[in-house]
Amino acid sequence: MKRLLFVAMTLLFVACGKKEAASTPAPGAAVEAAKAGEAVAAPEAASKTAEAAAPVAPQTVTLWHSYRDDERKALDTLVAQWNKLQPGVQIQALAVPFDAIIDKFQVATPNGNGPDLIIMAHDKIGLWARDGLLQPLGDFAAKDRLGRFLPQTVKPLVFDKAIWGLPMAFKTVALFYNRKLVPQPPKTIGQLIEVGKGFTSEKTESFGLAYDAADLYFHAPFLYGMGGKVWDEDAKKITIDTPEAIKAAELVRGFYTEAKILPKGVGGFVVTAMFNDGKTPFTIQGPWFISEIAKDIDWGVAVLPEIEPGKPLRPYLGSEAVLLTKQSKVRDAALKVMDYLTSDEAAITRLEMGHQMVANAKIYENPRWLEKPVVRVFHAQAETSVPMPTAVEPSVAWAPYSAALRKIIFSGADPKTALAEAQATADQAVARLGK
Amino acid sequence: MAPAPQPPQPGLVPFAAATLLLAATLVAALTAGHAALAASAEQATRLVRAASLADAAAHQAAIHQDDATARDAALAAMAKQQAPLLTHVAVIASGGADEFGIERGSGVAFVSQKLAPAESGALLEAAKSHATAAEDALQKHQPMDGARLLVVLPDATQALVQPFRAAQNRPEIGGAVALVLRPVVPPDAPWLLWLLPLVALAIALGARKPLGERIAPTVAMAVSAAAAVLLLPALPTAASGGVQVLADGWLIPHSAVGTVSAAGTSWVLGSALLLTALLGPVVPGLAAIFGALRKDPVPYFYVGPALFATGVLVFVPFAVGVGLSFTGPNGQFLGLANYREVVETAMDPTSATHFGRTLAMTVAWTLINVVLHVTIGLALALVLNQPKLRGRAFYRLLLIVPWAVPSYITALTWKWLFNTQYGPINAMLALCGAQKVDWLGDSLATNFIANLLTNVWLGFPFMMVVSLGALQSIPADLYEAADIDGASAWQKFRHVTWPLLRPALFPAVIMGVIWTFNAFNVIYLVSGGGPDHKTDILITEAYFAFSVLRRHGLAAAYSVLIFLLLLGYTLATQRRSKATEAVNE
Repeated sequence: MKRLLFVAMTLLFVACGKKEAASTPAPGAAVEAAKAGEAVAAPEAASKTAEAAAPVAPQTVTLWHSYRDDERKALDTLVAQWNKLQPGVQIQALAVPFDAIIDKFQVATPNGNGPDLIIMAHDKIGLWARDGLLQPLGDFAAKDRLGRFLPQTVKPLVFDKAIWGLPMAFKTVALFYNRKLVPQPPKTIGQLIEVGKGFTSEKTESFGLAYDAADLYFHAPFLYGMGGKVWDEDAKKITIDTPEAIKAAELVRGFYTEAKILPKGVGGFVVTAMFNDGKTPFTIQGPWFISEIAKDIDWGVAVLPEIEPGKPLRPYLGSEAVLLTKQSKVRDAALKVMDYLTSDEAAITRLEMGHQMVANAKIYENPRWLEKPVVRVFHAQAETSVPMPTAVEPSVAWAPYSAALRKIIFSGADPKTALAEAQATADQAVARLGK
Repeated sequence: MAPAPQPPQPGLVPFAAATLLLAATLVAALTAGHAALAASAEQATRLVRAASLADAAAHQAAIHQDDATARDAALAAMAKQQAPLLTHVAVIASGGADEFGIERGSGVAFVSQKLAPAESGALLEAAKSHATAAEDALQKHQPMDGARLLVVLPDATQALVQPFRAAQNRPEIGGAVALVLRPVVPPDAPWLLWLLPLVALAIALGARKPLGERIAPTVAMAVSAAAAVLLLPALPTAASGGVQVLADGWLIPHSAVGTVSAAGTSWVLGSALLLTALLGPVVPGLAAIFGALRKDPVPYFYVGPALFATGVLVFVPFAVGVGLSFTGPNGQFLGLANYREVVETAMDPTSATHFGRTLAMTVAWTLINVVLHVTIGLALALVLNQPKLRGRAFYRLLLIVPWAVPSYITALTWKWLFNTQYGPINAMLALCGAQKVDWLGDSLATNFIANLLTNVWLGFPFMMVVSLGALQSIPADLYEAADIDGASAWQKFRHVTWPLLRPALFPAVIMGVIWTFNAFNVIYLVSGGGPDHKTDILITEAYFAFSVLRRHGLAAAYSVLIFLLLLGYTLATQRRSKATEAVNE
């Protein structure tokens, strides 16, 4: 019996070994060949081969995205349309959950297992470009092609003097309000405080304004509105400890200490719950918030109020773009697909079906779309928005800045000291930052 | 418990084989590391030779105003020096940036020459990787119709840089892409050092009798380790293991920095050191296995697949991790620099992360947690073990629930419970008339308590289940006997329950300590290490190094330190647990 088992085990080993031996060389060899071809052939020759090969066998352009629900439906529709009309180039779209797509992309792409195109918010561009995961669009992104997008959505896609993708949509925050509680949205911060005070009550635990004040993303409208910034692109320096930042932090602290319209330490789903329970008439949120609002709430959305007339709040803008990866072997076909997905026609589908705030400027010239309040308001808000930094360094500023905000707004810390501390921490982290 | 049978004394042959195997592994690993470095140094030398050829071309490009003439002159110069290893030389004209900040230029198309028939595979590969890197940089300047140009310069001397300065003064030329290479040749290791592992083997065999089976191999391996340490300076410490690429900022708007890296060198070295340090004491065991393998190989074939899988899934990643901890962002060998950085944070009071503070926090966190887990778990187990208690099964089920729910869900739920404004905990405090507490705010104490409560909730069911199992195996007649002797409840617990519970609880506590030491989920999700990293434990700080600082080497260094701490702890407790077992026998 023992002997028999022994023989069986040995056979199993042999079988496993054989399988591996048979399957491994093939892809390996293909990769080798592709590499050799790519490196030796001159670029123009490579593109010629690509063109010549197109009619023979269909090229596949893989596209990764993390869209869900309606956005995904819209994208799938566009992909199906393309695949029907373009037998030479087939798009293969893969939906990867948002919490996994970044890791998956970063692991797969250096080994050549990643996609040709990926849809991602622009703040990853600096990192990925620096790590060699993306390739610049070069000539393809000629001025007339970029001209069809809102300029604020294109600028953040430029990193290291090159452009790395075409914008699909943008995300920014605006003021959501409960129509039942507030018929007219406030135009200035002063009005907001005044209206908000009327709703603030210890007893019912209601507050005039609920948002994650201690998070840099939601603080950005005030910081940039006051003329401050987190990252100086020219000097390549983090700028937390500035007079503008102090003014912004003091303004928000006033919401908590003087006006008392701001609850302490709320964020995320607590804010959603407060809005849905009618415990706050105002919140600062992005378009993603719409699907979280309860059915029975009569809500409206408005451009963020101004600090004073002519001095608007300036929220962060995230430009969601389709990016070309370094590993792509079908650059020309991928660029065509990219062009198609960001075309004005495709934008209509993405807006109608996917409810995206698309980046195409033409859409917002059409009164048909501008009649929709959400479209109108977010488009108007995009005008005063500032792109989130594309560089890698400012990413380390988030945690210390947010911690400083919490201390200043809710714990009464001295703004100057707290921001200077955050500056020191961030500078230190930048110095320790890996390449 | 029956006394364990004395393991058979392995013979001389298996013992020698085991020692030899380890020594050979060590030598092989070090040799491989050294060979890889030597090979890349060889590449570097060749690249530099090629570079001097290309330099001639670059020079021509600079002194001739007309591009066509420059190209011809460069070609001629390269041809004259024969073996034109480098294909492309680039001079790029830039048209400046557009309103988006994208640089738009018009390039100067240039020299394109076929690569010389593969003079050396390695060199070609290296040249290609440089060419690709340079092309990337060039792609940003538009349009580039002709072949991409690449200049490789040897050392950054003024004489070689000068032509480019001249080139930069020409209005249509925006800059040049240059790779400045410096070869780093590893000095040859004194060959006698390579004999040290053999010396180690001799010690292992010779000192077996006088020093004993257990100590001799450790001494032998210590000699090997000394050899490894002595060999260390013989390996080049330069960036990228063999070739250092310097890029000159003023010269190049887009410097294409490529490296010829001796991939894997550092981890080979790291693993060799680790092998040496860890495997010495393994020799006797390995010898025993070899002995048994000779006698009856079949069982080893049964465990073979599992061993293989463990090797691939555990030991290989572990070795890679250890190797990574000696490397920098580009995979270059840094020696102990990462470790130094971790430890140095302990001496800098202004540092955001502070190794000493974090270590103290980790230890305090682990101790307080485990004490609470055991106390609460044991107390509940004692209650549940009461035969008179009705609905025992129901309570037991209920109390195991915290354990069954995924820990990140629990952690997020607790985070909500601690919410300042609307959290149920503050609501209960308010009912009692107390002030609202800003749990996850700026206070170290409240953040720590929030983490602690969450982890106690997660941790006690395991201790309860273990205790309950052990309690049920205590024979009832012992208690009867104690009753007859008139023992009080406390005396029964102290002298009957506790001694019989201890052997079961001890391994559970050891595991509990290790889990709690690395309780990433709770810290990360509840307090997030706040305020200001003060509730960070080592593992969350490692994650900070990885995710925020993007320093894989630094994070790996943290992990190795955590491993060493836990290894020391496990070894120490193993001795003790053996001692307790002996007491019970």
